[in-house]
Amino acid sequence: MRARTKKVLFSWTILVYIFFYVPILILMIYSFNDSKISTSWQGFTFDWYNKLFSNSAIGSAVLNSLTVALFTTLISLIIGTTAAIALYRYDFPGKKYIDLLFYLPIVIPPIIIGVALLTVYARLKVALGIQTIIPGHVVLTTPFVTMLVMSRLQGFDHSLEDAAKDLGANAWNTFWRVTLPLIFPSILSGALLSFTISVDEFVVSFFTTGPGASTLPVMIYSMVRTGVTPEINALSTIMILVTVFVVLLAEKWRGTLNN
Amino acid sequence: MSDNNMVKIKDVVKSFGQHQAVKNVSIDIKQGEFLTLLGPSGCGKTTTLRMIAGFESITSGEIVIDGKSVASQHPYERDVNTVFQSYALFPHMSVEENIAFGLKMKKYSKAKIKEEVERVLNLVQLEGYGKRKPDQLSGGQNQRVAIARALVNNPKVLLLDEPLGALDLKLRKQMQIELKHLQQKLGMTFIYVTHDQEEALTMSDRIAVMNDGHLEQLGTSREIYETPKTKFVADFIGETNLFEGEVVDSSEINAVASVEGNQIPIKPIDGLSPNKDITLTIRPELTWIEGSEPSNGKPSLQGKYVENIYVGSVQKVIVALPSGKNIVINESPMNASDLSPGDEVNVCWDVDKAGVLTS
Ligand SMILES: Nc1ncnc2c1ncn2[C@@H]1O[C@H](COP(=O)(O)OP(=O)(O)OP(=O)(O)O)[C@@H](O)[C@H]1O
Ligand SMILES: [Mg+2]
Repeated sequence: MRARTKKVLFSWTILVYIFFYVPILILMIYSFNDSKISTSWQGFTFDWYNKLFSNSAIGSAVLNSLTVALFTTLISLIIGTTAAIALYRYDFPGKKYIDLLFYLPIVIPPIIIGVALLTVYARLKVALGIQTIIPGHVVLTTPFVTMLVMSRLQGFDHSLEDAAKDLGANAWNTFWRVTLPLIFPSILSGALLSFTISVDEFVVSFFTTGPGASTLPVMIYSMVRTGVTPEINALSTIMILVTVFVVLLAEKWRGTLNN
Repeated sequence: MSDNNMVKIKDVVKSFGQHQAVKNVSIDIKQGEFLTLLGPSGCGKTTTLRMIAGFESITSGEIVIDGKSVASQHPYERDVNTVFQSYALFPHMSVEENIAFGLKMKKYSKAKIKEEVERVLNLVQLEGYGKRKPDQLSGGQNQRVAIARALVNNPKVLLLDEPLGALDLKLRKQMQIELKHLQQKLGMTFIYVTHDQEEALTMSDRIAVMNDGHLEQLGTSREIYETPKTKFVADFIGETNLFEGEVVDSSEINAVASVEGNQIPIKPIDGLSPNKDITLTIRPELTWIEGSEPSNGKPSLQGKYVENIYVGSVQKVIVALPSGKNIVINESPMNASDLSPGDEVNVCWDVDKAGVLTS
């Protein structure tokens, strides 16, 4: 009986993994398929990758995506970390609701954030471009940074800050030498999370970007509208590999920094 | 300094909202003194210490350190250092870096810092552990690092908040002696917080017993133990038998009170008058049992033998008084008891060994 339960559980797990990863795997395999139609295998080729790298539109989309992600990460780190420290340190009436407001963007549908921003931009007559994507991404990523830093702040022993002051450190030195190093792993996790969210984000980018200024996901979307080509498979494969690499890196850093 | 008081706590009050955590506490602490704040959990010991360190503001009153009122000084401006109960060692720094932190803040030269770190590592017997991180040390070793980190700054006053609380009994006893010797060697003023009365008695020059935010009694270990001033102190420090009574007769040289229905001679302290309510505190180790009533006029209470409890270093004899109240007598474990339950016995003590409390 127990052996059978085990077998069932095992098969189920395999099924879940197949469901998760087989479509992605197929996509990756077809990126090497020497055929324009992705239905049958015609032999191995790097053609699609070559084509991809010679496509200047894709090159600029990658650059746009990286630029947006970089600024998004920087801004959300600064806002998210300072907000976490402030929310952690100060207590005032109604603070519970202020806390909640900070996390709300996590559950607000991105399409609403996108449309709302677009309305504001239209009203203020802001010219759209990749710079107008950044505020939307910051709204999406900041709550995660705040949440990560906050949980770290709640987890560490606060007599450590008292100890620093006791040993002659003023508020500034206490922050730089004790508080910041202790919350640093969470800031780093926040950075990687913000970066990956921003690079992968489609809905908000789609609504708030200007003509001719596509991020990678927006670009892929416009390419797919005319059919899924092996070129897109190649592009997606690269994106997956980069994302996995970043996540592995984050895991590795977390491991070494926590000790 | 006009007097030799290193720390003066004057009528200090601390309120958290409606709640008064510290109520009108005044203590003068001499240079080089080992003073312990002792009291049950929540009585305001930590709060008092934190006000001295500067982590809590004073609601009213004044704290003077080395002749200067410190109300307006930040913790980092005060010439005191703290050993925290949780040690509060910086986990991202090595032992050396932890100890060097205070000196670095004071902008000492690299060479001087190195020399000082070596000196205190030596002092707390941790030579060779400088490169380790706190999580690579045992609790007792971390304890020493915490002490070294505070001591290296040569503070005028060292504050210690239950620094041995996390150690096992054996290590705690050993560290108590070591800390006391260290304090004597350095001649530094220590203010020590504990709720362990035995620890307080072992280490302190003077003990300030606190209860519910106020100071119950301030005195040497011996004074606190032998002549407690209040019922709370008598009960909290060591083991005792407490009896309510009423003064029947009092004069300069002798006094009598009615206790448990008996007329009993009591110590004639100041302020006794007939009909005054008193509490008698009788330590178990200062009482003994006799078969018949003592003829020499010593105080005694008659009761029935109940049982004998062997606890290693002593055996506790329990005697039930007619009122149903028990009285505990400590006897040497060598004495074999020939009593059986129900036997009539007399519990005796010397008049001047039973404390008379009027509050
Ligand atoms: N920051 C605070 N806000 C509100 N109340 C507080 C605060 N700090 C302490 N108190 C209260 O003040 C009282 C005294 O606390 P304190 O920490 O000084 O006790 P303690 O004697 O050190 O006890 P323990 O032996 O348990 O450490 C307690 O009732 C506590 O709840
Ligand atoms: Mg305490």
